[in-house]
Amino acid sequence: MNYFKQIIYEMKHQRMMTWVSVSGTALSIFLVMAFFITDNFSSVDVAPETSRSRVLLGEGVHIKEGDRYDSSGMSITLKLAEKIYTGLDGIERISFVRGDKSAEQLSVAGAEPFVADGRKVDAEFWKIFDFKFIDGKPFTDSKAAAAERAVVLTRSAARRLFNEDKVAGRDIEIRMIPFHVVGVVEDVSPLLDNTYGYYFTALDKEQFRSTESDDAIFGSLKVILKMKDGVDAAYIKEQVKNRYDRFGAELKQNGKELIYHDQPYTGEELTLFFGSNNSPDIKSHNRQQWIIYALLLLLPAINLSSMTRSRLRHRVSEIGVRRAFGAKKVDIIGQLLGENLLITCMGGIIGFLFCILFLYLASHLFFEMGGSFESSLEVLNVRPDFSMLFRWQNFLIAFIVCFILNIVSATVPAWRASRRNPAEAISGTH
Amino acid sequence: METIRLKDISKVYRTKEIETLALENVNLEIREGEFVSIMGPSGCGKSTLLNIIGLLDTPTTGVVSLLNTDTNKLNDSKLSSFRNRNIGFVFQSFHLIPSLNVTDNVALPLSYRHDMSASERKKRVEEVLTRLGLSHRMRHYPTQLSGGQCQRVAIARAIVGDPKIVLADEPTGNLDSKMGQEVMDILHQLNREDGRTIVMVTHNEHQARMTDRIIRFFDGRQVE
Repeated sequence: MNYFKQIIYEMKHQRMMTWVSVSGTALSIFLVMAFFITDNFSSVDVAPETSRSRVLLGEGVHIKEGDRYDSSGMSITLKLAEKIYTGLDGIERISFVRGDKSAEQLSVAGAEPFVADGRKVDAEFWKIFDFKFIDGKPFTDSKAAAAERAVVLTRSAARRLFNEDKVAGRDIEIRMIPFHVVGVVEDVSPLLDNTYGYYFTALDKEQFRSTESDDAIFGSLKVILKMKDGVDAAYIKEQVKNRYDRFGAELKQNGKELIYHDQPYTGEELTLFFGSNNSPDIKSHNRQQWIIYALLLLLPAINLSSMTRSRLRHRVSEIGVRRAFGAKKVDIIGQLLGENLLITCMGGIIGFLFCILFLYLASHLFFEMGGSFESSLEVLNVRPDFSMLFRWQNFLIAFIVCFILNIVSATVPAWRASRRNPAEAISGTH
Repeated sequence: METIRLKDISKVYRTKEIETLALENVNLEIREGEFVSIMGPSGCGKSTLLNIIGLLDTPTTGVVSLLNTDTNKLNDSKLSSFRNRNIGFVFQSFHLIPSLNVTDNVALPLSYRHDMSASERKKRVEEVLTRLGLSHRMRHYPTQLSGGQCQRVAIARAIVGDPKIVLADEPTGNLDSKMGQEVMDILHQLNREDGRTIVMVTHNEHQARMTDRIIRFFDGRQVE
C-alpha cells in the first residue's frame, strides 16, 4: 500500500546507504547487461538479419594426411559447397557468397575515390536477408547481373559517390572497372558479419566453377542456409555430417582424412572463434557464461545483502510494531522484498541505461566488427544502432536480473527480520 | 465474563550463563470492560506480563486465554490475525513509524485486513482521528507532532481496528503531566464509552488509583 511512499522517505533519510545500494545495483546490472548484450548480439534479429535463428553458415574444411599434413580453411570450393550443402531436407533457401570481403576503390567522375568493403553475393542472398531498398531493387539473376556488372550500393556509398541516395541506373567504377548501380540499400552495421558491406556485386557460379580444379577443396566461398520455419539446426547438421562422411570416405582412398567440425554453424556458434580446425563447444561456452553471470550477480548480492541488513537494523522496532498490529511473517518478508525490489529496479534502470550508452559510445571495445574495416576508415566510427541495444528482450532480462539480485540480496535479511520476537523487536533488543 | 485469563504463567529468560525468572506462577482474570493498572518496581515483570497478554511473547509455562480462546493452540499466523482483530497496543515511546504520515500510521492495523476496502479503511481512519482531535494533522509526519499528539496518534492506531482489548505500557511515561492527563482522559473515555477492556502498566500511583483495579507485582510475583 504505502510501501512506495515509505521507501522514498527511507531513501531520503538514509542517503548514504541508498546511494551505496543503488550504485552497487547499477554497477552489477551494468556488468551483467554489458556481458549479456555483447554475448547475445550474434543471435538477436536485427535488420537485415531478421531471421538469424533460421540461418546457418556452411564454411570450414579440415583435412589431415598422416602426421605430416594438417590443413584447414574457412572458405571452400563451389564444387564442395554444392556437394555438401545443396538439396538438404528442411532448407528453404541456399545462397553462395564469397567468404571474404574485398576492399576495393570506388570512384565516379567528379568525386574523390575511396576504398570500401565489398561483398560478392548471389541473387538468393537478397531473399534470405531483409535489406531495405531505398532505390532500385536487388538483382534476381546472378549470371546476368555478373555479366552486366551490376552493383548494389549502401546509402553511405551512394551519398559519398553522388551526394544523394537515389542513384539506381547510374554508373560507377570499382577498381577502375565500370559497374552499373541497380539498387541502393540502407547501411548495414559492421557488427552484422553475414550482411555487412559497403557495396554488393554479383557472384557468378559458372565463373567460379571454371576456375576450380576437380580435386580442389579449399576455395573462396561460404554457404548461407535458411532453414524452413520450425526446422531444428541439429537435423541439418546430421544430414551435413552424413555427406561429410561420404565425402571423407572418397578422400580416404587418397590417404586423406576429412574431419567434420559440426558444420553448418549457428550464429551462436560463430561467436566462439574456434577456428576452422576445431569444433564449437557451446556447452563449455555456456557453462563459462553461467559461471560469469553467477559471479557478477553473487558478489554484488553479498554486498547488497549487508546493506539491506544495515538498513533493516534501523527499522527493528518498526518490524516489531507491524507484527504487534497483525503483520504475519509473510507480510514482513513481502514488504521488505518489495521495498528492496524498488531499490534494485532503480539501480537497475540506471545501470541498464548506462550500459546501453557505454556500449554505444565504446562499441569498438565490445563488439567484434567483422571485416576489413581498414578499407573504409569511416566505418570505424560506425556504432550499433540504438535499436540493436534497446530491445524489449534486454529490458526483460535486466528486470529478471534485478529480481534475482533482489531475491538473493534481501531474502535472508527479510526472513531473519520476520522471525524476530515482536516484543524484543519493539524494545530494540538485539 | 473474563476477557483475559492467565493460568499458572511463568516466564524464564535463559542465556548460556544465567537463568532469569521474570514471572512466577501468575494467575489473573480480567473481566470484560474492566480498566486495570499493573504496578511495581522496574524489572518486576510488568512489561513481560503485558507482552504475554498481548501475544507478543510466549510464556515458558501456563495458559493464556483471551476472549475465551486458548491462545497456546494458535500458530504464528493465527496469533497475528488474533492480535490484529482483538488487541490494540499503546507504547511509552509511541513507536510511530517515522516514514509514514499520521493517516498511514493509524491505518497500519487495517492494512493487514484483506476483507476491508480502501474506502472503508480511509473512512474508519478519518473517524478515529476526528474523535481524537487530530483531523487537522492527517498529513503530518511524527517528527512534526508534539509528544501528546504522538501518543494520541498511537491511541488512534490502537483503536482503529475496534479491538476489545487495549494494552498500554506506561502510556504517559514520556509526557508532561498536562499531556499525560489528556491521554488518561482519552483512555478512560475509551473504557467508558466503548466498553473496551484496558490493561495499563504504570508507575503513576495517582493514575492507577483512577482505574477499576490495581494489580501489584514484585520480583515476578503478583503481590496484590
